[in-house]
Amino acid sequence: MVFIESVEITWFRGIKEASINDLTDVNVFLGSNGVGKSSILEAIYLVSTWFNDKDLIRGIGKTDYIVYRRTGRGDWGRLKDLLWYNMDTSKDIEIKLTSRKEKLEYIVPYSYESKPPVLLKPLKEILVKYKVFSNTYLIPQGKGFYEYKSKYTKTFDPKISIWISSIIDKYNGFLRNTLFIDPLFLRKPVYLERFIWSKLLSRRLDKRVVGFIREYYEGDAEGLTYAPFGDTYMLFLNLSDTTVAIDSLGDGVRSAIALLSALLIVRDTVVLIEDPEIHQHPRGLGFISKALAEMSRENNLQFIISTQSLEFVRVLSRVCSEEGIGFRVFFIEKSNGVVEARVLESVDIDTLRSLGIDPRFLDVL
Amino acid sequence: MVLDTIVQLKPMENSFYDFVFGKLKRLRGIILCEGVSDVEVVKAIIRKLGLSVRDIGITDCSGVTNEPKVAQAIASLVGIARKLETIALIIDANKSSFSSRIESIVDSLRSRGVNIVSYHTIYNERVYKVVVSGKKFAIIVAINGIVDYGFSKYELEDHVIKLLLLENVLGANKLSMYTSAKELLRDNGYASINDIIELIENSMRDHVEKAFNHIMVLLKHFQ
Repeated sequence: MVFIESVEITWFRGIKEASINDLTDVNVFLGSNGVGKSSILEAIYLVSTWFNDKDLIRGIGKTDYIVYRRTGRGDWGRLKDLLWYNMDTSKDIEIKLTSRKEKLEYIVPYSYESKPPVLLKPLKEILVKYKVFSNTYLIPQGKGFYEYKSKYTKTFDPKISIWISSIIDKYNGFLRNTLFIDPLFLRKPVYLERFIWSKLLSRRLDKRVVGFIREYYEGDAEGLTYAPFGDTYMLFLNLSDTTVAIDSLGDGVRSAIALLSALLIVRDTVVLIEDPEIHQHPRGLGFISKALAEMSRENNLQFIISTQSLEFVRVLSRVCSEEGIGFRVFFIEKSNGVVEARVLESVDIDTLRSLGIDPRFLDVL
Repeated sequence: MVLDTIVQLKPMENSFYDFVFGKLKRLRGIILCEGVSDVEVVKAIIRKLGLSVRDIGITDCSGVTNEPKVAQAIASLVGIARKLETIALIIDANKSSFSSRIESIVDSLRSRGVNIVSYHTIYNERVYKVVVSGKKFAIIVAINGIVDYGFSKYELEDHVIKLLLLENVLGANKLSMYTSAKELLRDNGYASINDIIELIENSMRDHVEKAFNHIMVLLKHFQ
């Protein structure tokens, strides 16, 4: 399902302005280093904090994770300036998402000191019923409003905020469970073990994970066990004649287990994935592509993925085509902070390759 | 003086390194040929005539008169290119007249969603400029073939024969003995592409210009 149809971003990280339109079920961002692919993912993740700041798969606040994830240091309170374009905090970060043809406008004013820091411009429906002044924004979950000029915050009666939330939910409620899967998540099994494992087990989705591992990685995989080791607990992969600690598995297998496990516990939402091709042999890319296609259909997930791997794009394109799932590639470029996207259909990618042009170098055209 | 940056885009493994190491930062134009041999002929012409064609890529559409493939290549480039100034196509007339050939190409492009406003000849019904709505770049199409030779198909090899005639290597009486230019070339010592390239390199410059004048007109758009 297509939850987000388009996204517009202003004044966020290295992005002065960006507009990505015509998103579909599975969307891939290609482009040189530093053009803003990951920043676009982060912007959507940031907006999701309006609905829910708790990161389902990490157990920390999303607001802090956005700051922490790139270099493993800092949090919102100490390093939030890094998220403003050129660290110029005189302007607000603006992120607009179009969903069901309705455009919702979020801002992050530097002056707003609470967490999560994202405010939402009220929809007409809400303005009509509750007359508010201009320059008034809804604080997270519609619990109140923030008046921009005076920096005054007022909370609503719970009945009002429930009503407001229900209105916003119609358009962007899917953001509540938005996942951001990045290389840091895929590398650290502790996230899987602490925040995902019990959810998988309660629905016996661990069997599904093992089935995939058996098909694509370890042919004699029999199960996953969470067991003590030394002074801690960790996951083990049970094979026919031994058991291997998840720490001892190859990076590709471990990443695949983490990725699939995360996808299995959410539904009806957007999943943002950064560089899923890391550590993956082409067969591993096949596995990931199939997993994404299956989850897109079964769990009603929309994917927005950044990658540098043309192999992954080709494999994913093929799988989506075979499964009848919408697929689109966006070539991202940036000049003086302005991000532009060119849409590449599968036929364009094949054509460019047949002409001898690697689509990752589309900026020469 | 001589071209320094016409880049052969295929095989991709070679041009990949040009892209990676920054030798190619921008392509101003792309020349599409039907086959690998045609690419080599065009490159030989450029070298012989000392044409400067900076930041131009040349490639083939995998041979055969693969019009759907050619049309798709152009349609994709029209849709996704932002910095190209010219897309050029060098294509055989085959069994069609030149006007039918260009009409067929335009129809193929339109069927792939390319919004063509107009097209007109810019040289002797043999080179055409195709105007696309909303696009700054031009599509230039040069059609190979010499009808007067009476061959069953009109193709690039006809122009090689013209060069041979101009160089007095071949007599005009030979033409009526063959139904195809390729056969004539093969039987007269020009079976391989290397032979043809050597011919171009060793011929008089103005003979090469006359024999491949339509390609010259096309290449001028890149200078």
